Amino acid sequence: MSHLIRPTRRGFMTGAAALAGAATLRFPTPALAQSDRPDLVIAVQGLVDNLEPIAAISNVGMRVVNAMYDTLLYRNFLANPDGSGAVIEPGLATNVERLNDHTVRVTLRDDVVFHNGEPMTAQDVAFSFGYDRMFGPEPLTPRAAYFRPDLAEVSVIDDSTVEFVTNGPDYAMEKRLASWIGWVVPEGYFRDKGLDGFGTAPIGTGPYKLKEFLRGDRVVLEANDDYWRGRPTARTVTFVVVPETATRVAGLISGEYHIACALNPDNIPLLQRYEEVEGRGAQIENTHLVVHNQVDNVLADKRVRRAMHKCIDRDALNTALWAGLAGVTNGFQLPMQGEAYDPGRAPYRQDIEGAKALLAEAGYSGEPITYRTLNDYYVNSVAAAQAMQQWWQEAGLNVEIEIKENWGQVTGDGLMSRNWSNGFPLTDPVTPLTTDWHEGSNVQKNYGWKAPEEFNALLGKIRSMPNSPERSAAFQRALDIFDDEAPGTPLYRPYELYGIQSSIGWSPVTFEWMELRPHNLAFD
Amino acid sequence: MIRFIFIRTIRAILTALTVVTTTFVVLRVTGDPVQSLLPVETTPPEIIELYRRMWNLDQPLWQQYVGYWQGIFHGTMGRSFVDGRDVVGIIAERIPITLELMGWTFVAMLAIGLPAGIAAALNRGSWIDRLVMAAAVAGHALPGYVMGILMIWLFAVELRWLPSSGYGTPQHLIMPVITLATAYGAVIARFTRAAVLEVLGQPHVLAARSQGWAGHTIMRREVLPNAAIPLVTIIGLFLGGLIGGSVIVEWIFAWPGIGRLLVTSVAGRDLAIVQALVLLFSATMIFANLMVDLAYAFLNPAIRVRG
Amino acid sequence: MQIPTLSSAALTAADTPQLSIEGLSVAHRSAPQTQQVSDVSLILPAGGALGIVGESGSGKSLTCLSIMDLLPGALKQSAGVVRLHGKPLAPGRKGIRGRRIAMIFQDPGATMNPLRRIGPFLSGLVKLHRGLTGAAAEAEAVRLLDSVRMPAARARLRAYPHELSGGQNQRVMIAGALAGDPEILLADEPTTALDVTTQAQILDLLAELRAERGMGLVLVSHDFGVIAEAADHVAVMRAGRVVEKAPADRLFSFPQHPYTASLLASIPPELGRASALTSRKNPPCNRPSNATKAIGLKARGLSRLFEARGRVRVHALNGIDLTVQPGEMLGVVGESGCGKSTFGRLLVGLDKPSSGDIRAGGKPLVIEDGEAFRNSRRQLQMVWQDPLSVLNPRLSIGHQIIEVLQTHRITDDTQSRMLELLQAVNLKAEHASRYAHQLSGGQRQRAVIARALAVEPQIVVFDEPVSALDLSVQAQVIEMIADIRDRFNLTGIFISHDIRVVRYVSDRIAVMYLGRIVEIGPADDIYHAPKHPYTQALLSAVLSTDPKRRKSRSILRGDPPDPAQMPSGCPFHPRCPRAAARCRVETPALQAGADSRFTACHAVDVETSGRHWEAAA
Repeated sequence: MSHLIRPTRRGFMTGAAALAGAATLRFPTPALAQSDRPDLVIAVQGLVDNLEPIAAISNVGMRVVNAMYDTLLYRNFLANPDGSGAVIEPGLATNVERLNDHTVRVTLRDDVVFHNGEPMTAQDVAFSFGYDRMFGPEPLTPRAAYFRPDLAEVSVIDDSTVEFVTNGPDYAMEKRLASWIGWVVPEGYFRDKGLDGFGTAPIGTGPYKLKEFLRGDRVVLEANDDYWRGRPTARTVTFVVVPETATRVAGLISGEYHIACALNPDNIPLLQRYEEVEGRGAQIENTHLVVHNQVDNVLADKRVRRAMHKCIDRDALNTALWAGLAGVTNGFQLPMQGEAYDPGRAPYRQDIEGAKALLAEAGYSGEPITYRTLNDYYVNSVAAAQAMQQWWQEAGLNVEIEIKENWGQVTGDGLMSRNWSNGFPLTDPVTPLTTDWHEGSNVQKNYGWKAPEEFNALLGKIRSMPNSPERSAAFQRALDIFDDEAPGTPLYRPYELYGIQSSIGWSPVTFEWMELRPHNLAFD
Repeated sequence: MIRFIFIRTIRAILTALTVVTTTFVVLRVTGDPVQSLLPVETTPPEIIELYRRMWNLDQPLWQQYVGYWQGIFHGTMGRSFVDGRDVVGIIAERIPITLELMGWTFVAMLAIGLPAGIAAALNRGSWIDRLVMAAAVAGHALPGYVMGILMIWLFAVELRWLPSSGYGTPQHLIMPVITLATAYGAVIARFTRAAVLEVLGQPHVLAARSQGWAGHTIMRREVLPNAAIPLVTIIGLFLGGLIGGSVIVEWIFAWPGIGRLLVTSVAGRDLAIVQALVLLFSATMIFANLMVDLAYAFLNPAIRVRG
Repeated sequence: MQIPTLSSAALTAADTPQLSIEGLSVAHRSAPQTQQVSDVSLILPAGGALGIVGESGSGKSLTCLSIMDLLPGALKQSAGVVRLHGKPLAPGRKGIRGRRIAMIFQDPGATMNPLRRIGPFLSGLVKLHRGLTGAAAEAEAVRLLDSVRMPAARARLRAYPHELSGGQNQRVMIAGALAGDPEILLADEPTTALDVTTQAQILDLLAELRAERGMGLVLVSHDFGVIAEAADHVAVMRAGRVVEKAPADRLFSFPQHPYTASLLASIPPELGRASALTSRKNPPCNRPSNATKAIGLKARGLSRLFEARGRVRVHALNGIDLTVQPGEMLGVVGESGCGKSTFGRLLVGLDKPSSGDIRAGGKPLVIEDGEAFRNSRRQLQMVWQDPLSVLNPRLSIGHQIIEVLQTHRITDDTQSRMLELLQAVNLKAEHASRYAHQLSGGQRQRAVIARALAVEPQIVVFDEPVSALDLSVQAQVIEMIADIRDRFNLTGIFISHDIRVVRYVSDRIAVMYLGRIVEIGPADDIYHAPKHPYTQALLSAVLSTDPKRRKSRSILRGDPPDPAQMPSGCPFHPRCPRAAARCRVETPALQAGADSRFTACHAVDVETSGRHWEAAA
């Protein structure tokens, strides 16, 4: 344990600590116990109440379920040193075979057992993605409706083969099987327990299995020593809820926690004062945005929307609000989207004069525009709104900020501009463009964005084609139209900061979960 | 006396009914819970309908209300909107955790406030009085958040005497209890001082001195029982206030009690839990008030006898 | 301050005084130069009764408290010594308090612990001072209650102080004081909070106890009557000093010091009748508007019923019939709970009668109708006992008067009218800029009256307007009221518990008892020749300072009645010395007698001529 709690540099404090030791007021430290492996303690900002893997999809739930379940295919984030890798490797499936544009067939490992000791079968896999749990009219996991592929059928071919058929062409299916939708659950146990029962006592195939679940307080996992990818490196993993950021930092520095999640960039100088801890982080595959409701208002003119877009200095926002740690993208794309990504695409630049010219051209004369934000639901969003308001004002845009208390108020009557975020859950151009901006999307259907025919046609291409220069060109052309039309405007990628005991070998990934599998968790 | 208890009890029940009804209506009128829980803009309508049916939100308001009361009489207060578990169970597992915090805080706040207030009153104008009052003002003025964080840094990070947060052992109790008890103990000290001074100035204390009673007898027999009457009122009201105070302390010290449940449920718009917690809180407040009334009547013969 | 040698010599005549105070000074701890009591020397001869008299702030109570070393924390004895049989008393008075010297206080209700029953209170003291416990202590407690003439003593042991009347509580306090069998009793304003008839009872009790036990008494009071009644040596204090000390007879007959003389001259009975003194001393005050004629007031069957504490009905007023002539001042007198204040509130519309009606100037007083009520409110004004509670603390006196003048659009020249009003109540122009807290009690009451006069009322109800004032100030304010009444052509109602004060300002007096008028008639007739036994008792309880006018008093039994427990028949019969069988069943009506007098008493009815009662025999 000495490597975890080191004496502080200041002498009198060392003395005081010694005194404390003499007073025998000791609390359990999360370090190496009797066992050969340490007990890992992670302080988190919150927990979900249901550990069913789809029900748990959220920024506080996925880091837990990722340690308990496996996907058929495995996205190796750590193929890149910064945790942004997009390599798809075998997972519970040893092989994936594309039969045609809407059919893939996977071959399963035969040595995988669930935490209850029962072997994982093709039936379990088919159930996990099947009609009853995922894509029927009343799925056992209703939340699957947001995330599911457009499946037509999932069928067991034989004991080790499962076939996925989609309604339309879907060349991203392999990537979906490596995403948050792809965690495999045991059919019999799940049907037996139901959604809530399963969420309370979940069973997966992952490196850690549930030991204790105190809702709102902690989840304790213990090593699944039969894990098919190798022996887990921690004896137990405890996710303990410490809602207050300052308390998480304090507990990390005092040695009670190995890792503290969801810290602020403000905390970095403090972490730097203590050599036994450090900050590690990654830009998340997500973009904060501005989106416009254009129905019956001045935003129906794309020149006004473009003017708003041109006023924003994203680097300034990043420096001021994120200590420069957030990500500013070159267009609405990320490198992990694969070959359709164009590294040469020009980054967004602030251009107030250009905005003024556009407004003059549009004949904008100070009509009020409201900008709504749900408090700081999106981290730093109020401060960002205030900064943008200044720039907009400079260009002559009359924008009023409205800070709301719930989503009903944000999306209610009088909505014009508001903040939003888009995730990039697949390593493919289909998300978020074809999921959040397509013809049937809220923006086109309800917010009055009259997208050019060409844009919708391009999205159809992106959705249905395999990777190819033609698909890449379609994607880049769609981004051009997106920027020109500016139905919304990307701002930056948020940064997830972890505080960690420096001695622990662990790297964050660019997604809202933690990788705790043996290859990414080492105690020196 | 019995009439008095009866009237007070009926009044307490009516108050509780009003509170529950008001929250029920207000929570449902101010925003569609489905809209808060699901990303409505991207959710297929049939799924939204499914959720509405699950929570009976498709029924008219009065039907939901009747159903709610039927549920209460059957010992259930609905299911969580977030994870579908029985609300009573969810709350029941948090109550002992908060009660532990509140109970010790209550003891500590009295242990700090009463002796300090009495000492200040008995030594009015002396350094003891000034010290107690200065500490009381500081203790009351220092926000719980600041005090909590400062203590964590001193005792957990620098001295490493105490765990920074969490619950389970006596050591875990120390900082949250001190944080809560300081603010409330400060107020208790001020009220105690005022109450004791008030009684000390009453003629019957002077009369008792003239009768030759020793100081400690006068304190025990004349001053403290009479000062207790206004104090009981304040202390009883604090019992309700402690729940409010526990919200911030449970947050800072990662204490998984009722206060934190309320915060997360309000943020997540889990109507069933919020509704039940409001009922619980109002019942606690009303019960505390009722106890104050009864204790008051018990302590004060002028009320007790006339009843 | 020069002290007449004659009286000093008289006081020091005894060999070793039982109690002596030598050169006592009391000062504020933080400001030792400002002395509350300066160089006071007093002697209590063995078994004597020393009266200390003075107005508020004279230091009389502090002197008394110093004997017991019970000064308030902010004060300290800065000089002097207190001796008991020549031996100086140690600080803290251990073994003295309650054992050798006992003390009783002003407000008996407040000097008892509200949470303790009478039994434990007394037996606790018996145990403390005599070492008795258990049944012996309880028996002694009963004996003590008996010795203070407490009826049903054993049953009282379980009572709480709030269940007893003021007089009963004072008896309990005296019983407690006797528990240690002290040789000296200190009594600090022991009867001030009590009704006059109860006051007489307590003073008689003290006299009896002194005689029985040979106990010395130090009696502190602001009331010369009380002092004259109970003390045989008197010290007059003013501003912390003794200005005169002398045997009682001599002091009251031949006051040496001008201050003593002026105080004695301020006592109402010594003033004679108001009309004789003040009539037309000042010219009538100019009214800016047309001078209005005085109007009369007529009450018919006026009743006020309170439904208190659930089902208990309290008849605060019970069928009052009354006519006040235009320009007349009617005095209303009675003990606490007799309904006199309720009557006043009804007259000015602050309360509504349960039945009956009131007419002012021939027109009915309507409370429901806002407009008519405002007009009638202008006609009717009320002056209360406590001027501080009715004056606005944040506005100057002049400002408040001008505000009233403007609200009612009395005149355009509000400034000069305001000054006229101040002058009428004998305030100076400089008082206009003062605030209530900067004025003395008497000045405040004058300001209140000036403000009331600003609306040019035709009827003014004075409810105990001078009861809170010191004796010398009292006399000035009464005189001023008599004066303005003439100058402003007012019809007035003057309510007081003190029949001397009432008689001074009133043309007629109505005596109230339990919500009824029991006797009404011309002031002098009532005062000198009361017919109703209750009026006789009230007058009998008036304490005279003139040794020649001391009389054997007829003291009423029992306590002032509780309106919640109305006796059958004549409400006065339980306390009446002349009650007969008829009185218990039949309520007497007011019967007209000679000289426009009305009396409600069966005993008076049967007398054909009416007994001439000699008040000043």
